[in-house]
Amino acid sequence: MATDIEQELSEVFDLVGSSMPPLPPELADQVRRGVRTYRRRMGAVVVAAALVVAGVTVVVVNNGLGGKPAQKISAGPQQRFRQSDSNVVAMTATTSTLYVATNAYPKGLVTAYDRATGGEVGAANLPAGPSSVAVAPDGTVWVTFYPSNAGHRPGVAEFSADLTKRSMLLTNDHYLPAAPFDVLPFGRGRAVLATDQGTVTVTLAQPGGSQPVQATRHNATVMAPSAKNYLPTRVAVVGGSVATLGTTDGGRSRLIINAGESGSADSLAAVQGTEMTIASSQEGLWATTGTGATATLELFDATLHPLPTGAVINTASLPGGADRVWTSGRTVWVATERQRVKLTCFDYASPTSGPSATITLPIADSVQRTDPIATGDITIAPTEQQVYVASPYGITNYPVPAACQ
Amino acid sequence: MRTADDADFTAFVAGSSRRLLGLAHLLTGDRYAAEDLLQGALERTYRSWPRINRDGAPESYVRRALVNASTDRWRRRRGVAEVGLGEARLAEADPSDLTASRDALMRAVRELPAGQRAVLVLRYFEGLTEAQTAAVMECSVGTVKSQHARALARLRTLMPSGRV
Repeated sequence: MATDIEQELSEVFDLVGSSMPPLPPELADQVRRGVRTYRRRMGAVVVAAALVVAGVTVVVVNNGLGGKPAQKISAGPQQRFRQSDSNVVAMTATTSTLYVATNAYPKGLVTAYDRATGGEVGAANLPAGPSSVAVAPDGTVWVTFYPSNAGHRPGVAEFSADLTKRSMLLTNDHYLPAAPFDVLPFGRGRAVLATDQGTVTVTLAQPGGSQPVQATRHNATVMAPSAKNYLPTRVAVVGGSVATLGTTDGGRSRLIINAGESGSADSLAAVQGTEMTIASSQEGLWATTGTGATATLELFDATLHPLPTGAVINTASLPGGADRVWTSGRTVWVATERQRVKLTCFDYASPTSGPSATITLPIADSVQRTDPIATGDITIAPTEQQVYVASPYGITNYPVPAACQ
Repeated sequence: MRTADDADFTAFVAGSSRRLLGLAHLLTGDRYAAEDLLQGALERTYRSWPRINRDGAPESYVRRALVNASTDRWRRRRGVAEVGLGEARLAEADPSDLTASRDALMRAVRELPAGQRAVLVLRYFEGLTEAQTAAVMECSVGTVKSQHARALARLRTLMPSGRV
């Protein structure tokens, strides 16, 4: 005879187990894709092992015959990172690791690659597709994600550097009222999020920890009332303040500076533009504004006053206009598009910039596809020595040209 | 894989994934971990689907894969608290009919070691006999009996006094 606790277990299990939402009909296809990825990885391991064996054999034979070792390629892409069928949404890199956030409908995935070998060193699933990834000064990895059609809520996750531990905050009325688009982490669990209801400051437990979450909403002051149609989509730091970039559905942009790290105070300054992108550097905040050949690159201080940028920043050196901007240390990277997408880089030390260098994308992949890509198709993660470029052709890294180092 | 096998797999997933997700949720105590666990188990199943389908008990295979994976997960994460903070908050305001005592019971179940939890879930959610539970867990019936008894005893100590 069942005891009370057994009876209650049956009832509770039944209630919890049967309250699961229906899974998406694409689940079987998703499983098949996962298996294909697994088989490709296993195949790659076998091929790699075979190549190692073959390589050893060739070296042994060459040495035996007195032949020359194979010539090393010193220019162009050095390495390709294997990716599944999913799309790369955002990337960021530390000195040792490349973090890649990909959309794997209906979920998301963040993967860590060893920059030295290109090998995968960790991966973690996300409840839904990612919108941004960033690394905090303390090495924790932050990822924001959108809601999914499968009913998953949007939110933000903080991972340990190896992606094995996590702390997560999903949208809820208490702390995170809306979907986050971008994250600016400060370390020790603190970050500012750009959400579609304004900026939100959150404090999460250390990954794997169990401390309670704290969060503060700042949804009234992030954009002036007259600019309420601007949805904050990017956050960046400039001169100790938080810069927030808002965008309308029509592509109009408004960049504002909020006082203080939290970005909670009234806006101090604002500039308007079209389809702007922003990137922080020690010298100030770089911003592209406009589209097409007339798109310009500007540098702003913490009050959004323009700073001198040197002769390199003109339409001659940036043909096709400055569509998007990224930074790494003093190096500025700009995506331009005229016939082919190009990445132009230069070193900037106030008030002048050094010579520029350009990489034309993409270099054809293994199956020699030549479909054109647009600047909107790429995302990059620049570092001191390498720039990682994700495009529909996969992820490729290029050495940073000497002129830009 | 033959088209017919593929169609069978799609039908199997459509027909049983919701209940299997419930099982995974009870085994892990975490909705998102449950989805990961289920997808992993289904991928393992798909790799050998023609054989598993021929054997005629694909759900048993997935169930075993889920139990093994949840035990592995518990071993890896032992001592590491992972909190889905937003989810935890939502649970407090969950409009479902879980009473406070049932909520306490679920929390107590989550405190159990993976093996004991699996025995309870297989017995009381899946409705398996001791022998069937032993088959899924690949252990003896005696082990199931002892895990079961220890799990119930542990639950009684974890529950607030006066309960169960």
